[in-house]
Amino acid sequence: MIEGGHSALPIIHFDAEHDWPALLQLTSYLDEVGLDRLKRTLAKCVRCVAVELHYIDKDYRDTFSTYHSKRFTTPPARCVRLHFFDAAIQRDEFRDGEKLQRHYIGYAVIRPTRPNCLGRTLVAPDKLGYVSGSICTCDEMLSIQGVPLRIRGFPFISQDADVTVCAQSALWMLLRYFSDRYPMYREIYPSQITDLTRDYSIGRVFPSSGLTDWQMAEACRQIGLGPLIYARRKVGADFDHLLYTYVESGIPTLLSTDNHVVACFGHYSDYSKSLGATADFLPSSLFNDGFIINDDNDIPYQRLGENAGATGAPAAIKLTDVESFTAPLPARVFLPAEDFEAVASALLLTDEFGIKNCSPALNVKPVVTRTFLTTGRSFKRHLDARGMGHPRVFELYRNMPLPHFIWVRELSTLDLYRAHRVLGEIIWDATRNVAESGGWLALHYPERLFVDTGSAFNRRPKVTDFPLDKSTDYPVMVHNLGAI
Amino acid sequence: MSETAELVLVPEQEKVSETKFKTASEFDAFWQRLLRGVKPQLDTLAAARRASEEDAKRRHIG
Repeated sequence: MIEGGHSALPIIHFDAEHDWPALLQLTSYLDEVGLDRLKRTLAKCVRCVAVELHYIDKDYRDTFSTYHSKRFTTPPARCVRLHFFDAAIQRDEFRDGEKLQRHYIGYAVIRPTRPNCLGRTLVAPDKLGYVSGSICTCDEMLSIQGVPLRIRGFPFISQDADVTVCAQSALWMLLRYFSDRYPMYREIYPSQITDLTRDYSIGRVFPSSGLTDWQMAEACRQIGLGPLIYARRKVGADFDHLLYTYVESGIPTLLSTDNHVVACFGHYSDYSKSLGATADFLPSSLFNDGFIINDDNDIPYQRLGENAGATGAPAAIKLTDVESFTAPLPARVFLPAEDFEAVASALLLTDEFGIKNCSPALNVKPVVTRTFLTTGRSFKRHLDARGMGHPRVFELYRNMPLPHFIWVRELSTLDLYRAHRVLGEIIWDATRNVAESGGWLALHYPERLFVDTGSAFNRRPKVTDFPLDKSTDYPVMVHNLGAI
Repeated sequence: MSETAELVLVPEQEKVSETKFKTASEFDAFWQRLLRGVKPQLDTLAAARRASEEDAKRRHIG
């Protein structure tokens, strides 16, 4: 049934008479390809669609002003925004904000562009029925006829093939996530992404012929991020582990193949899988089966890796196709993940502070390690809920001045880690270089806690040893990634 | 108490803890020893990052 077919907000109720094809009748900008992508994304959950005609979309209006309006034949300046609901919402119920919010799945802007009409899209991954794993999300506020709504997800957009191709689209998804989630990053529109790389371009920038990895990293730097680039051929066997570590830290990344780039912002793991355990340390990345990506040529929240088909949304590319990734770190993170892991591993093997001499409870093979970047503020915010295994550890961490960003390497046994619990951690100042002795802030075992009480107060390092008794295990820290 | 005074993280710190190195130079010596051991690995990692950046200038995606 279609309610208000001649109004500015027709509502399609999916029933025996009307469903997806009705969108083609009401939305001339939508083509069969776009409709197919919407169906693949939303078919498991949509019961009702509100069609917001004459929607002025800030991202399309940007590319329209920069490029499309300058052509002899111009497309319309306005878009259509589709709002999706997982229950039937009657026309008079569109003033009931609580009901709208409860059943809201998200929106997709339909642009009058070809070959890709799917514009800015934000849909809730937990409602789609095919997304599972741990992902970064951001919130957006919007309104339908003045009724405010909130939606949480990871931004998606397809390329228009003129102002934006896959490079700009993937960058847009990343940068929109940052500006939606963190107020210190300004909102960037599609043509501005190309402008960010203008000084590093050869020849014309519109229509776009794509970007290099370097230009994409440069665009990130221009808005205040500190990107690191890793090439699989140069990094070697640790490439997938490093990618996992940054994603696990809540840093969305750009994954590049030889001719395409996608946004990666989550991962999925199998914690029950059996692992060969011969090394001293077993990184938690070995449980990882793959990553969750947005490919502008396809649908949101696809799986890239093993068991990808299990959810019905496997990516078109393979993980082994990924030749490089760019991790846009916060600008004040000066210590890369791999440098931290190298010195942390060395410290854990010393006679003075190593596991062998200091922690009978962790002196097992293998010790499972989980590395992630977080803020000192976020680490402290989770102390109370986690308990930290001992009241003295909780109290010391609570009182300890911490840097803005810290690297954390949690320590656990295989069985405990499968239950998402740990026995200790090492904390490192992510705003220092690797060679500085004051970078090491704390090392916590069940039996003792070493704290650099000198660096904590901006003085020379002074390692203080706090004995602990009757420690317990405690939950892993879960911060920037939400479980779906 | 001024900000230059000796500060503690928890009130009972002096009673329940001990300083691991008696002097700062002892700690420095430990640290330099640790760094010497890990330096070849850090050099390799830094070289991989530099090579990745060079690679990034060539990989054109569109």
